[in-house]
Amino acid sequence: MVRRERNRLRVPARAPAVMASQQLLHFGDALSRGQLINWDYLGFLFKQISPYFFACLGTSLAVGLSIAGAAWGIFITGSSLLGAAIRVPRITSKNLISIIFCEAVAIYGVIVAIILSTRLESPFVVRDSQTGLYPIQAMTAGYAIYGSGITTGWSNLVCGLCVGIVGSSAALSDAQNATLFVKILVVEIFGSALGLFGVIIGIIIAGQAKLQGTLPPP
Amino acid sequence: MSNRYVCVPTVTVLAMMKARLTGAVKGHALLKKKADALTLRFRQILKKIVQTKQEMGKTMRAGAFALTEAKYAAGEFATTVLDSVESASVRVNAQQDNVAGVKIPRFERVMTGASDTKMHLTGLGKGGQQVQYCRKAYMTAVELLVELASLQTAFLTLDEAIKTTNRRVNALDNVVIPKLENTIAYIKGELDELEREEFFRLKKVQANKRKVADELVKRRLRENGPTPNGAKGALHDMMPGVDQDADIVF
Amino acid sequence: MYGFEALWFNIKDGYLDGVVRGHRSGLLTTADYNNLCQCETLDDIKLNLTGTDYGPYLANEPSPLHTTTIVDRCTEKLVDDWNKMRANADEPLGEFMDYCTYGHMIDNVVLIVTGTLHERDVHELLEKCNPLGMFDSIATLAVASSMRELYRLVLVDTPLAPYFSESLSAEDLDEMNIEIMRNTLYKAYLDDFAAFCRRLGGATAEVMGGLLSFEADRRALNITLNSIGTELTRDDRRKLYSNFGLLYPHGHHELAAAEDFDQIRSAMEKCPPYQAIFTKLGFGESQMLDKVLFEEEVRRLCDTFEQQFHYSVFFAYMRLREQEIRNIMWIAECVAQDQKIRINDGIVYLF
Repeated sequence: MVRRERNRLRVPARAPAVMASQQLLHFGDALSRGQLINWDYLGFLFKQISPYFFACLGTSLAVGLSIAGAAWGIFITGSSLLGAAIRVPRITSKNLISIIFCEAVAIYGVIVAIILSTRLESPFVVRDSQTGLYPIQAMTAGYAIYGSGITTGWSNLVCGLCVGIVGSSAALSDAQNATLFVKILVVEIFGSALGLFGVIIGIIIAGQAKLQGTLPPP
Repeated sequence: MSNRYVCVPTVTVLAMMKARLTGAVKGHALLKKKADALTLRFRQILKKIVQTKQEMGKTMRAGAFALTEAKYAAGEFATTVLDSVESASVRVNAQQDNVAGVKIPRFERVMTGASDTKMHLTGLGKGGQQVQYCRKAYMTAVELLVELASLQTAFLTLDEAIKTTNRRVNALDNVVIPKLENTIAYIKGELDELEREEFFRLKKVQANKRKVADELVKRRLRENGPTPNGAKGALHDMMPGVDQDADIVF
Repeated sequence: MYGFEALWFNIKDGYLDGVVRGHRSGLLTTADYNNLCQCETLDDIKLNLTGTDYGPYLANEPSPLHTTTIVDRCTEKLVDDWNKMRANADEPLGEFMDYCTYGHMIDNVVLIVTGTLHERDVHELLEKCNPLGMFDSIATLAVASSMRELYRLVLVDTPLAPYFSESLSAEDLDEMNIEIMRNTLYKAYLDDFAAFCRRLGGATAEVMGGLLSFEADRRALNITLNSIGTELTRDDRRKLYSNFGLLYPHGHHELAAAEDFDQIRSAMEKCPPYQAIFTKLGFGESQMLDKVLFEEEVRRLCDTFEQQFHYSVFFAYMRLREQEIRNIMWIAECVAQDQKIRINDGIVYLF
């Protein structure tokens, strides 16, 4: 149409809307085709979600779930430690190691979140005007960061729980028998290695991802 | 002289004293026999008491230990037991025994059948067996206690009886019989003396009478001159019938 | 979900779990018992105990000691510990701990009721009550003059009310033999406690279920054994058995019909765990039974400490302390009565 061609600064968003409405006309046929759920439409909608959403979600899950795991672990150990230390005060200094292991889990989460947030480099990831989809590199990057964040988050959550429960039992058995502590510490070390696995995989996955965008051409 | 009865020294009194003496001697013998019998019984009882006391010691010890076991198994059941008692199930009967005339009491344990049933359920949930065992142990202890009680009262009563009997024996032996004997000796002495006095009086009277008769003969001789019979004649005059008896010639 | 208590148990009860395990480490060991057995007088015992957890409670006792004083001080310690833990307890641990003490409460109520009916002084009775089983309105029990009034006025407000109403009717309260009443209440209590633990679920339900079923079976055994030859009929006996446990319901049929020790033995030996107990006894000998049962109970109680994140440790602690106090009483009495030969007959070593 004449008016649109004169407008230099085309707002790219409108094209996909036109696109969308055009395609809606396509999608509307699904019902007539006899399908209950219009999978094509849903897939279309999914692909419209910005990769930034997934990237930020991943980052938040990385730090949030790790810290939840660490906190959970700390309170499990801490309450038993307090109760047992009333009678046997000597256990307090040694058993702070359990708390430190739990804390380490939170730190893993923070580290991974920092790394992931550095992957979000520039704000502009532009949609293609024809298909309305984001560039494939951006999409991959977004999903990768999300995956990395979830991996780290969930593995740190259960690692924190594991270290916390073992730490609680370590405190109670140390109170009864001082020779047991060192052996149970080995169990805790193996437990905290789990979180480390999550962090490693998370970093590897996120290593490939780069959410880079370019400014739209003037 | 002080150790005799004050009495009139006559034959009847002597007879009376003699009778009393025989009585005293016989009484002394009998009382001695009684004292011996009582002492014998006393010693028997003493032996039994020593035995029973030792057994008592053992039984009470066993009873106390059974109580500990019961407390261990059943906890504090004392108040339950105390509160389920209505009337005493063990009673004591007292009877009299006669030993050589001394009445000594004897105690017997009597079981009334009361409140036995409630006791059987004490400690139903735990430790009931130990409680029943403890109960039996203390029952034997009570039996022994009753026996010991009767033995000890018998001991005390017999002790008293033996003391009084011995006192009486000694009194008879050292006081009554010597007194009686002294009295009898005194009476006899007095009677002898009286007899002697009588005899002496008799002799004196006879001597006097002879003197008077001699005086009379002499006076008659002086008055009548010499008699054909001479002195003898005077005597014959004085004593007619003297000649008539011919001298007996053998 | 069973198995996941570790995730949320410590939120409310982690601290008290640590505390009770600390108390458990203060229970007397075999070495301590050996020292106590070497004592010649009660003062020696006091000296030995001063070095253990009981120190502050016994240290100030004046010298002519009596065995009951020692036992009273030790019980005081248990009561203090328990009350401190109870004060800090959250729900449902608080309710659980209360359930643990209802057994003692039943004993106290029975004590006061019979004492009152026999016109004894209230204060004297209150002194004889078990301190673990006290509740606030206990002194008002002395006010009532008959059982019916008692129930109406006082017992309705106590936690024991449901046990009275479901098993006893009004006439029963007046005429029943005191032991039968006590055991009926105890049966209702055990059933209720077991149901409560099942509701709690998880490790608590499993461990407490095991402990309570042993308790129920032990009571059934004792009731049967102690009612042979008494006026208690088979049906009455049946009514006193709990409604759970390894012997329920088939074992109960046989136990109710048993008339002497060997029949009881054959009924119990059909359960494998109890067979092991009975092999320790000779034939026809039933004197040792109490001690063997105590040993079995102690073994099970000590095992509860091997698992974490459940409430049974509190119950186990209370029972183990009570057993320890029983042991101390036994030792003190043997020493006081000069029966040291028998001293090993009564001690159940905890560890």
